[in-house]
Amino acid sequence: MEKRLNKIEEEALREIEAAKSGEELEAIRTRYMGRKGYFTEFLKSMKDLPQDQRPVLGAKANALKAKLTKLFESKIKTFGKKEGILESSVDITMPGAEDMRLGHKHPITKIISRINEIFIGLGFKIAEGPEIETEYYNFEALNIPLEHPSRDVFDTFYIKRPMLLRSQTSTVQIRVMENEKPPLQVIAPGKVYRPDAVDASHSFMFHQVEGFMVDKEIKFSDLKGTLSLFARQMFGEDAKIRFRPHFFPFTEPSAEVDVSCIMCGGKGCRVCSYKGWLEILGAGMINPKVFEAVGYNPEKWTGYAFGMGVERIAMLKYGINDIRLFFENDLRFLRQF
Amino acid sequence: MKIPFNWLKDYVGIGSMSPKEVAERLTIVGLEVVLIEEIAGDSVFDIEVTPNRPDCLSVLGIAREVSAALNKKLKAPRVKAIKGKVSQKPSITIKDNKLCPRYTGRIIRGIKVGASPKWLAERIRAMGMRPINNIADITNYCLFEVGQPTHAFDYDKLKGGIIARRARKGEEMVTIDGKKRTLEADMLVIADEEKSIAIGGVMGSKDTEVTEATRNILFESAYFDPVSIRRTSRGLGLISESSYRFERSVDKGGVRTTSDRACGLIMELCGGEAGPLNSVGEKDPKDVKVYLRPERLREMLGLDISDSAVKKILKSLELKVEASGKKTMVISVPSFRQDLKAEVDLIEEVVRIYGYDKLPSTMPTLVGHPRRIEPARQLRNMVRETLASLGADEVITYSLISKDELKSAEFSVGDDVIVLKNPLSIEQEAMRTTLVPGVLHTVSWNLNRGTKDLRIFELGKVYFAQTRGFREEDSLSIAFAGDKPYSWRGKDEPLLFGMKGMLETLFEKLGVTGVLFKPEDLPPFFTAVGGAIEVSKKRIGFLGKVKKSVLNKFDIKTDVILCELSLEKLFAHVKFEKRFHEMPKFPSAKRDISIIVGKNASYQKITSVIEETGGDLVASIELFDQYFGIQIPKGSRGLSYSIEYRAGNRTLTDEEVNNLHGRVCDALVQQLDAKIR
Ligand SMILES: [Zn+2]
Repeated sequence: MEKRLNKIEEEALREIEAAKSGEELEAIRTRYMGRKGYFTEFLKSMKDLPQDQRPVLGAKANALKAKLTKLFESKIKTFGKKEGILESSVDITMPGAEDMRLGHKHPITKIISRINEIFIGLGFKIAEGPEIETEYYNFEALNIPLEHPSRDVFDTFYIKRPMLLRSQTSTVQIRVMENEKPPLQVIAPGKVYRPDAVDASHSFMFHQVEGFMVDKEIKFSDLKGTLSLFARQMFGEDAKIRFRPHFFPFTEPSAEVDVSCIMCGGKGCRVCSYKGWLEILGAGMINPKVFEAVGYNPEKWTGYAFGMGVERIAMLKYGINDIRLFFENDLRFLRQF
Repeated sequence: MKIPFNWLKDYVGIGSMSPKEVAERLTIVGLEVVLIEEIAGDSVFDIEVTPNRPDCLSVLGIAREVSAALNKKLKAPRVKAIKGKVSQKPSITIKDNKLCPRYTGRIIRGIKVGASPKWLAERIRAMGMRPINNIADITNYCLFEVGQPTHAFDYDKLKGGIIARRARKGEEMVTIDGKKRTLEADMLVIADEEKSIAIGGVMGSKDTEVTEATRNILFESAYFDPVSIRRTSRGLGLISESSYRFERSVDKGGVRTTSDRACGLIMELCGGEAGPLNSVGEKDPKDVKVYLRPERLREMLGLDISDSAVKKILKSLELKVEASGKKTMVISVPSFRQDLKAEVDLIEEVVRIYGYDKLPSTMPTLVGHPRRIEPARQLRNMVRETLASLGADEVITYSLISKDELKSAEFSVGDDVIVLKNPLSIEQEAMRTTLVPGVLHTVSWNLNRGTKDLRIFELGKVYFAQTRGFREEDSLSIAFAGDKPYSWRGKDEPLLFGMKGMLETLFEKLGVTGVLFKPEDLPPFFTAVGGAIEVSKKRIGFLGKVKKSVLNKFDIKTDVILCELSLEKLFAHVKFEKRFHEMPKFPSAKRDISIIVGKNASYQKITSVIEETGGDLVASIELFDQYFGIQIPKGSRGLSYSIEYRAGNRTLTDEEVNNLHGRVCDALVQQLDAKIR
């Protein structure tokens, strides 16, 4: 048996040495190492050996197998890539390494970044303020009387009067104006809180972006122009906006702003309740009373302000139908963005 | 506010316009018709009335808007002063004229209470209410028609004159809805000499309610203080059509005329004879003067509109242009438009009726702030960017959590935890002092939904109460769970070393150097595997493997590696600016070393011994193997390093390198009891 093995080795080495091409080498490999090759046949015949001879011969056979395999590999390289038949045994349709997967930023983070980018492009700067606020910044300075029905839409979480969780990022408007002089172009993104029971369209915590501009001769029509431009950049060049009169204590005149339905383009569909328009934000000219609260002269300065719900924009942009998905953090959801 | 279309048509010449067309026009001028319902052959609008427009809480108020919006004539009902045959005036005393600035009453005798005529009953039904009797229906009819709530008492059940006073603390009354109410001292009641007969402006008492047997009534029309009504209505949890209007402030000019209107209807439909009105307190209000500069209007709106067009719109809203100088108009505002107090209010009226759709789109002259991003913001952006690029998914969890969740994660719930006064539920009563519970909750949610490899992070605020005030600061938490191999050569604690690698990459990106991981002072929710993270000897956070007992509470069945660090504290060590360092000019020499060390010699300690001994000449230290096995005593391990030596100003000689490496080996032996192999 051992002699047979030596002979296989001797002949294989000679044949490999003499091989002139990749095809020839592959034929030799099949002849020795293939399913019915000499070497394979030899291994099969080993089962007839007596028990005590098997380990020694087995070790020798394994060593030879390794030696031959290495030889085939190094020899095939001498024939160059084109003839590299052995490489073709790689199945390149197998999946790529999972470690190469990117993580995902939260869709809310992405929308806030997008909004920021649009306004930074227009020369706005970003400001931030605390989430734990006082009644003064959340209500009084914004011309919302403490005991008036106009507060009903601003239901608020209290810690201990006058401390509360801000129900709108308009608080930042006051904080910036108290500390800086016009001209101002500012946006303020952040979390806000309202004691709304959670359902598909309500959440007790959500995100808002407040924006405002104060200068000499800022006009209501400038607000329309700025927001039209925003809508086109956010929702596409075909997006149109519509102003509807509304009431906010901190702006006068005030408007609710609709964007032409991004699903149907304004023809009317289920998403827009067949109205063709979707409400996206509230806006208006800063009320002179707000200017008075921060010590600006309302005869000298005018300004506009707007506030939008980030979740609302994200839901419209991505076609998400339930606000709870943002805070459930299901990876099957998050990994889509 | 519900507005039946047929009723509306009585007061404004709508002509042949359809309900839908009128509704669209109303929406355009700011009174959003949210729904049109077909009720008994009529189209009933549901209109969202903003809190600044109490005048629009009536059919007549909406008719005024339609009249202005469509430029059609208003046909308000004619109200004649009542001249009855009864001579008796009721006695009225106002004890608190802040809560009750004006009260009027009149007696009507000999009425017959019964069912309302068909037209009246239908109007009441169209408003979504059930007709009760002719008297009650007439009060409701007037409330819906002009927005002034009124009330009729059974006069024979009163003892003496009317007194408007504050309630006595604990005073009780059964209201018309049959509920017993306990009153507070700051609430206004209408009383006779013995008892209170109504919670002023909110609801009357059961005792004095008009019934089939009633023959004589006392008819009330008054103005109550909005703030007081709001407090009372909220305090009692009792909101009525009446309180809803009083808390928004009714038209003071409507107090007397509505009494006339209602009593006229009562005499017509219920018979009886009325007496003279006794009006106590304020008189009928005068119009308010507001100035308007048309030039200012044009500037502020960016709208080219002529003075005459402005005047025409104002007049269509029943505002009187008293005088019109070259620059200023004087506008006389009737009492039903309490919202028009300043010039901007009039400017809004003009553009609202003119049409927001006709407002041009212009761009302001942009100021242009320098494109600078606040460093704290830049740090957050970089952290999110880096972690996402390393395969972690960002989550956003609620800032409001339960105290139990904090306890489950073995965080103490002390005085520094901010608790809400009016939480929606105890599930969201506290502000988080750590991101850990939210992150663990998210881990659990996803593992239980079949996620196999989980790498998530949250970057958000945590909140603390302090002796004075509150503190909000940015925190970062990362969690790994599942079966992804991440490790130093795939051996011990692959997830832990995976996260450590992620943090090291993050620190490198942020230019943070001198980071140490210390296996001590772990928060109580960790097993012994983990450590504190220090930068320049300052503790910024921790990293480790979460205890089973904690995981159980969050319903997690696999290992979770978690870290939390303070971005606020990290911020001090961040270097945003990069600087170029020249590439080495002289070649280096490498020497390998294999050592066997005991438990106490950590990688960090070995590295510092090598660095301290070799000084500046140590260019790099690379660990290339860690091994255990039969030749290594239990509790010890073998480590193999490749150390690179280089000088900045010359080529080191072989001899120099050998000497240096020898010293390093000696130091390891002496200081760490290492055995060289
Ligand atoms: Zn649509």
